Amino acid sequence: MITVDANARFSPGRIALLTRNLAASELPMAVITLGIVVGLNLVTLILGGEAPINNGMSPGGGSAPLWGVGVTLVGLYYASRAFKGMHGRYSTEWLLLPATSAEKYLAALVWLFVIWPIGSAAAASAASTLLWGIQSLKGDVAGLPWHPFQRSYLEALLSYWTIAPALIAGSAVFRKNALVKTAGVASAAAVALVLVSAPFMARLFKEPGVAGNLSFMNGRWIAEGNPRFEAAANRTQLLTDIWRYAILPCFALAYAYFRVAEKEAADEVQ
Amino acid sequence: MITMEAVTFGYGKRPLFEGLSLTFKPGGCYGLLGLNGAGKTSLLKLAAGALLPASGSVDAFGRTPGRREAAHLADLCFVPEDPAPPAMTAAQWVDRVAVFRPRFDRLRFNALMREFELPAERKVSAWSYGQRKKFALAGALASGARMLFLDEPTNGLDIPSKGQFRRALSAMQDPDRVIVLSTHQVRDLESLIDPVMVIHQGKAVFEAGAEELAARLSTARVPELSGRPVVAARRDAVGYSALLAEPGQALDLELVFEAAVQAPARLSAAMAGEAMGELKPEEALV
Repeated sequence: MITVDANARFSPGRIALLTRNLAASELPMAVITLGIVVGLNLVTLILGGEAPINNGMSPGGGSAPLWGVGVTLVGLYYASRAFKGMHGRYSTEWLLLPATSAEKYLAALVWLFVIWPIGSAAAASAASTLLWGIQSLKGDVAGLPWHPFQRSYLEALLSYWTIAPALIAGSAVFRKNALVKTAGVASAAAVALVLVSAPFMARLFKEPGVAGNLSFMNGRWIAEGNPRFEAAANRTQLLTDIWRYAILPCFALAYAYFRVAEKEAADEVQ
Repeated sequence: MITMEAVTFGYGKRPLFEGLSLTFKPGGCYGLLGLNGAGKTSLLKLAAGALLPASGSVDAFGRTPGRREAAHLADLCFVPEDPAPPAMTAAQWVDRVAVFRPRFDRLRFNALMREFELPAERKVSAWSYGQRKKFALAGALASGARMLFLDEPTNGLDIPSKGQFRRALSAMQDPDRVIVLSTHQVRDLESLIDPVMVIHQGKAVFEAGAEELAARLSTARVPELSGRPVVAARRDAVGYSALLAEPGQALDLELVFEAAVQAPARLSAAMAGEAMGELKPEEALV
């Protein structure tokens, strides 16, 4: 049993309890979704001889990439709900729950970056193995069941690391529909950033033209001659990778923390 | 002790409090009265730390509520007028939420659940508003917190529950505990309220303990205003309900509140034992 010391300024016990509460409130949806996916695939396996979710398995080591995509997308959905409790008419109860803002924030990170990736990958592996086992009994199987130790999933995790912080920040800002609103704001910000930075990027990398070449993510749009999108040079790629995998996620997480720490109860006058 | 010094707070550009100073002393069961929009709920949230003052300071037993330290939060319990409906049973709530309060008294909570006749086996979110309110109050009364902030606690309670709540709250009163009740239902709670505090136009305009009030004021029905030391009066069908500057058998806190808002100078004079002059019929409360 986890106990808490009310006088401790920072308590791992409270973080553990908050994480457990987050998991308890969020997991039912994931379990039901997993049950439906497995159930539907069992039906198609029995009727049609294969489980579509396991498609893509290769004899060389297994793939079935849909599992990895699924757990990543569900994780992003959860990231967009990380701080939903601190908004709206019941925000006062969330704010006054006896744990510090830092503990509430860290509990969300532990849930989203430790518990969910590990737990969901384990559950997806188990489900994939179950379907694979049944398919094997029918003598109609190729490759291995899905497992998380493969390149495609690790790449998906890397994308998760870059996108989830933005959604966490969005959940600390937006009261409703944080997923859609964060996606909209991030897209608008990316376009604005490209338009504003294009002249400087062109000058920095000594490319001809100012508005003609737009550097964006890991590539550039070349407007001159035959308009095309080209992979960026190493120098550009290095900078964009630092920006994408380090600066932006860390900035988003720091921003989310300050939003949580400085949050006040919903406006209400009585 | 909770102290507010020169607190300024508002929503947007509209100031609610400007230079508000007040003290909630331990042992008191404060009845916080005010008109709609006077800022009673905001005041409770400032004292709890859910809202942050634009300027000035708030101190609660040596801590700054706005920092929301866990020790401070475990030492207070705020029950809003419309409590959150957790999608879990009461037993799950104890395991997941009350567990953050080391002084939470499970036995007392279970006893209050039985006394309030709450359906423990169903999720709280499926209960009626009144049942949710009783559940939140049971949680607060079992919390062991030194600071209890209850916003309109009797709204939504049926008549037997109001009596049960009064008894339970009375048992909570303690020389080390501060209880603040924000309410429009003064008559539901007037046997518990001591002292009464009136908030009006961003200030604490009146505060007096039950003993002081009983020694200075009373209420009575009078056919006319002349010949009695009337502080304030409300006209009715056959005469006046009057607040008198003399001790008596009964005291209606609603009249005291109305006098604090509409006739503050006369009420101050009455509390100080000074002459007020005769109240004219056109000066009756509206």
